[in-house]
Parts: sequence; C-alpha cells; structure tokens
Amino acid sequence: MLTAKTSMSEGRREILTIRADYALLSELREFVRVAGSKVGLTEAERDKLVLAIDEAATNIITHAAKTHPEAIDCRCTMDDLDQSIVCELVYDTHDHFDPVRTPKHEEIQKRVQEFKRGGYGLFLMHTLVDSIEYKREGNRSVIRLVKRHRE
Amino acid sequence: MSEQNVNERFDVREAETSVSGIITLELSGQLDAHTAPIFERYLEERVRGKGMKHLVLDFSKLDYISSAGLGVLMGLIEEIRANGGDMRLASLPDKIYHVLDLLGFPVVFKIFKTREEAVSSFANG
Repeated sequence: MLTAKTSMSEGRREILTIRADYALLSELREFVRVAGSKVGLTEAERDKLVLAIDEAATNIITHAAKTHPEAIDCRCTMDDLDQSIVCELVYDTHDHFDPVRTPKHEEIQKRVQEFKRGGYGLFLMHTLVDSIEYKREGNRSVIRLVKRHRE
Repeated sequence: MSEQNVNERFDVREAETSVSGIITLELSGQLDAHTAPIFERYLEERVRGKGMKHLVLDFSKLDYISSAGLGVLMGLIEEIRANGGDMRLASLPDKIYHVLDLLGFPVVFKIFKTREEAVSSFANG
C-alpha cells in the first residue's frame, strides 16, 4: 500500500492520520494548509505554519528507526474567535524528542557559515509559529504548535 | 511511492544557457525530505560525475522548500567552491527567499533577481 491516511472532523477539530513516511509529507502539508485557511490565516501565515509542521513531522520520521512510530496523527483545532489554530502531532514512542529547546540565532548563523547541511528544522519551527509545547500522553508524544492570525 | 509520483512533485532540468561553461538548472515543484534525495543525486552527477562547477539554480517554478532541500545546497557548495566554482541562486519566489533569509543563507549564497543576472555574474568572478 502506497499511502496510509485517514481523516475525520470533530466539530472544529480535524484529524489526519498518516503513516510515518516522507512520501506523505505533502498530504500533511495540504491538510494543515486547508485547516489554516478555515480560521482566516493569511497565505503567508499558512506558509509558516505548514513549514513548521513539515519540519516537526520530518524530525519524527527521521528518528523513526530509533523510536518506531508507525503513524502520526495531526490534530488541528480551530478557534474562530481568536483566529488561531492549534496543530498537534501525536505519535507512539518510548523516546523523548523534546523540540522545546530552541537553537539560538547565533548557533544557526554559525552552522550556515560552516556550511552545515542540517540542524535548521528546530530553529525554523520556533521562528515560524507563536508557540511550541511538548508533552506525553501515555506512550505517545505530542508536539503542539500554535499559530495566530496577526497580519 | 513510485519514482513517477515523486517526479510529479519535484523536477529539476537543465536549461539552455548562452554562456559556455555555466549550467542553469530549473527547479520546480516541492523540495522536501522526500524529494531532496532526487535533487541531491542530480546535482552530484553533474558536479562529481561531469565536473560542472559553475551552476545557476533557477527557483522561479519552485513552490516549496524545507530545511531538507536547503541541506542539499549546503552539502555541495563547499566542494564546488573548493574546485574553483560556485552555485548561485536566482528568481526566488518571496516565500522561499523568506525561508533562506530567516536562516541567514544570503550570507553564504549569492542570490540574484533573475537567471540572466546570475549567469552574467560569473563574468565578474
């Protein structure tokens, strides 16, 4: 089977489940883009949210060989009054990947000047959304990203 | 995911360049963790296999880039420059330039508004 995904709506919450596979990142991005449009995020704001989610999901999949998540749930909860959206990436793992540690801007500048090819995803995640939290739900990890309409 | 489906999402092809010794590559579609390996293999073939060292990447048809795609650029730029060449970027859509700018990539990459400007810049070193 090439793709494994399901999606459902629960009121103002929409959920997409994908197999932990880079091939499905584009479907995850489209899901988040559509959800972001429903709370009035501008195109630029949606672009930022989508990239942040992509970076978080890529990180989860990259470490999948070690942490063994088979699927990733993306739960998007939309708040019309606040014009904000909360997107949670939920996945099975016994390991803790805590994305709350923010790389400093100076660290990123140094990496760029040393031509390092990786280590930019976490910085982008933190820069592109309003807040990021990490928590555990039993054996599942939850990365929670919040984006608000401002522009 | 078949190779065909991957190629529907991302493509890179060589474009006509009026200046000999300079290769222009047109990128289109979405460059993410899934499609970045295709781009990397393509670049490596040209840089390591064919010895090309003066490259212009035209981003005008690229819709999306993540850090995985940017990593491909970083992975080869040092080697290209060590061989006396360079890889220059042109025609970046605003949303893609914004991502590069956030990370400070314009400090290490020469970026031009048009492909023609990027090509002619090689005449000035």
